[in-house]
Amino acid sequence: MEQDDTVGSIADRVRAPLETVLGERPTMEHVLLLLFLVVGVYMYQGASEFAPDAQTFPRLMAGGTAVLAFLLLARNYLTVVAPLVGAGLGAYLTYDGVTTFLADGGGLVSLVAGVGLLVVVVGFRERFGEGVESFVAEPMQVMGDTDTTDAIPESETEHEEPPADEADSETADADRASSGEESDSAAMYVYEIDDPKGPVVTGALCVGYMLLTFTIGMLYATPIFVIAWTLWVRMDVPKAVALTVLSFVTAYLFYDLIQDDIAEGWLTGWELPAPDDLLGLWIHAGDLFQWGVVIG
Amino acid sequence: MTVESFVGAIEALLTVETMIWLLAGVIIGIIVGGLPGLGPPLGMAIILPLTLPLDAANAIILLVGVYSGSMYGGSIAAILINTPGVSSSAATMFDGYPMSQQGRAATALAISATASAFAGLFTIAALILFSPALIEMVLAVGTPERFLVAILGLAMITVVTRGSFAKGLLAGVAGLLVTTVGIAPMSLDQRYSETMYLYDGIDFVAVLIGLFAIAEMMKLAGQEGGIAKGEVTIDRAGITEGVRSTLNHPITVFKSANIGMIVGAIPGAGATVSNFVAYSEAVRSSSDPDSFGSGNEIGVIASEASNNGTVAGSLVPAISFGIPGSSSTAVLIGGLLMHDLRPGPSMFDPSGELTLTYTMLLALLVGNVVILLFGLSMVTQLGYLTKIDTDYIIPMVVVLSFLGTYALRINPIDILTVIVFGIIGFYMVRYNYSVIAFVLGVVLGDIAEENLYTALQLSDGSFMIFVNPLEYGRWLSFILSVLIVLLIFGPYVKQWWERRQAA
Repeated sequence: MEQDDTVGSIADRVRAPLETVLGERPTMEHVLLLLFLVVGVYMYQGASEFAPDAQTFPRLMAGGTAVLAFLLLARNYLTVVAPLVGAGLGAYLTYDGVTTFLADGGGLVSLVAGVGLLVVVVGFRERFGEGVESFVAEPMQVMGDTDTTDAIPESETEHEEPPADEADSETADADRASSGEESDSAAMYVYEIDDPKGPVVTGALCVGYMLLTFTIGMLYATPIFVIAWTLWVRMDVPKAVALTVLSFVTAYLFYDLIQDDIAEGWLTGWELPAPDDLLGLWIHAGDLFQWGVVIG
Repeated sequence: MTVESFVGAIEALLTVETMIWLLAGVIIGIIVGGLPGLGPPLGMAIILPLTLPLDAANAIILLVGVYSGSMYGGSIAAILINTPGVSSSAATMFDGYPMSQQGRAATALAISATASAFAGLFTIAALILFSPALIEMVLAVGTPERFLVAILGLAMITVVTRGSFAKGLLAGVAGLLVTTVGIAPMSLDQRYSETMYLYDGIDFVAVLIGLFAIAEMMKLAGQEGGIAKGEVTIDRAGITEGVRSTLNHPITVFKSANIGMIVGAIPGAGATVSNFVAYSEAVRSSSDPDSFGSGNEIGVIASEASNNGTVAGSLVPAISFGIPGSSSTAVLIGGLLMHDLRPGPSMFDPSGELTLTYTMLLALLVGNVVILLFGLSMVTQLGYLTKIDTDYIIPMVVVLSFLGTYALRINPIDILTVIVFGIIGFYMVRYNYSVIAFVLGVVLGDIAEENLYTALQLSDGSFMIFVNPLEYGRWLSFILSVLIVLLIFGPYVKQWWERRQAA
């Protein structure tokens, strides 16, 4: 990911104190986990507005998402953080259980779980922290090959130069994550990225495609997206033209056979004339010209 | 009644229209599988919105055709350019590519087609044969148990992925959370619907397309290579030799197909695991293990027989409980849901969708014959697929993804969903978060919530229905709960016990 000087220097200024305070290099994984955490907390909070029957499932899932995302974010500090989280969760469950019990005689499960958790956290604080750590962290992280800057051997840090290029360091992160025996598993295959700019440009072009779709409709946004792509990859002109025509024909088939609303821009309400309309105009160009002359 | 459904399925399959969709599905699958970087889930995800105008049977047949065809198609790139078109053909490279280098590409491709077809035929036939027992089993499972089976599937996926358990669990739970947006399945409350575009929730088809198509294209855009550099020579003379070689190793085909079927039925394991297991078993049981890796035909047979055997295995949890054995079956379940078909007992109910289930299985059976005929007759032309540059593939896949998603509902949120989940999927895979677990959550969310809701209604809101068999008499629920706890905490308890013993 290529960054200009301003963005790069701001990113460095944000990253430097974080590294100093936490000893941890922020990556896109942190952003991903932060996203899960924020969404989980927001949806947990929002679920309280629903009818009781409709809130059980979203609360369970949102709570789970938030707790797991937090534990993963704090995975390098779990021996300290986990007992605190456990105690907080235990206190909340106990409170919830007691209030429910007093209200309608239910809530025993919450009460027992809460008290049990509190006893475990208070009585076996260190073991609890270690247990949660082994649950959260990957084996190699427990063994010390973590994503903390302290833990990276010199040879590896050299490999990651230049440090300001976040994409490169992400690649190195993923490469490190891909090492080890679990990389052969079906559900967690990892991969190499040779050109970090490729995914970023593809993502940006997709966002542009979306915005264009919302403005002028997908029928004409499609060939414009493909033209932009062919320019980015510096494709030969004849091939680029062929690909653009193919994409437009595909979009037109969708328009004609499946859904003609794709030609309308959702934000603007604009609907550019479809090819068949344009063809109609061309056929009647003589008449239109005559009308124009008469009106003129 | 079961026999009537079976006969009805044969009648449904033997129509010109259905056969055309099956043929189209298999051929599209072979092409998608053969293009390096693409694979069955991506091909199925792009096709998914296009199936909307079709009736349910033809739509599902088209999807399973793509699934089956791409399993074979993946071997083409693996054999010819040492790049698996799909991860399930990774083990095929070990001996397939050396064979290609030795000028025996046609033999390897013929072995691949024959072994894939025979293994597919055998495992699907076995599935049809044992389906009455499967029907009995599925129908015996009640609502609380179905919820627990969903959670068990999620737990199994996170265990199979073997990395951080918390990462797998987070992916699954986050996937379930996505489905809580929109109308609540039972109480019909509107949830998190800040805009009217979210009234129907986040479309799972858009999520699947984002995760499988956009994320994959972003990945592909950052990779170099994977395209045939030089001329690949495929000599037609080797075809007969390849077929003969497969026929001369029936035990390897049979054993590998069984491995594929069993591993395929484990949620999350899929063909990537099964083809390595089958290959390892072929090496282990060989009298000449040193010859593997340098063009041993048995290596190709084992790998290819196992990955097509996986198709039948992965369908078992998918149609029985809605639990995908692999990413491809997750998309298949998405197809079922899109056509208002619920995986579970109704798929095995003679008065429900049993005919469709049998039609799907019979279509797979015929699909394997198509693979054999098409694969063998097109051997010399298959090399062209490996020469298509990703620069042409990426924009067309993005265009088809956007068009398919948007045309489905004309909801702008769907386009946003495709992009957001494309980016999330890209980074999830990059940092070892199980996308399969996430997809399982998305596909399973409504079913799991419905079953949880009904189960809690049975118990007046008490979660004890899942763990207290003495009060509720649900022993299967109790056993499933114990299994879930064992799956999640078993490895940690074992580790603790071993450390204690050592100390």
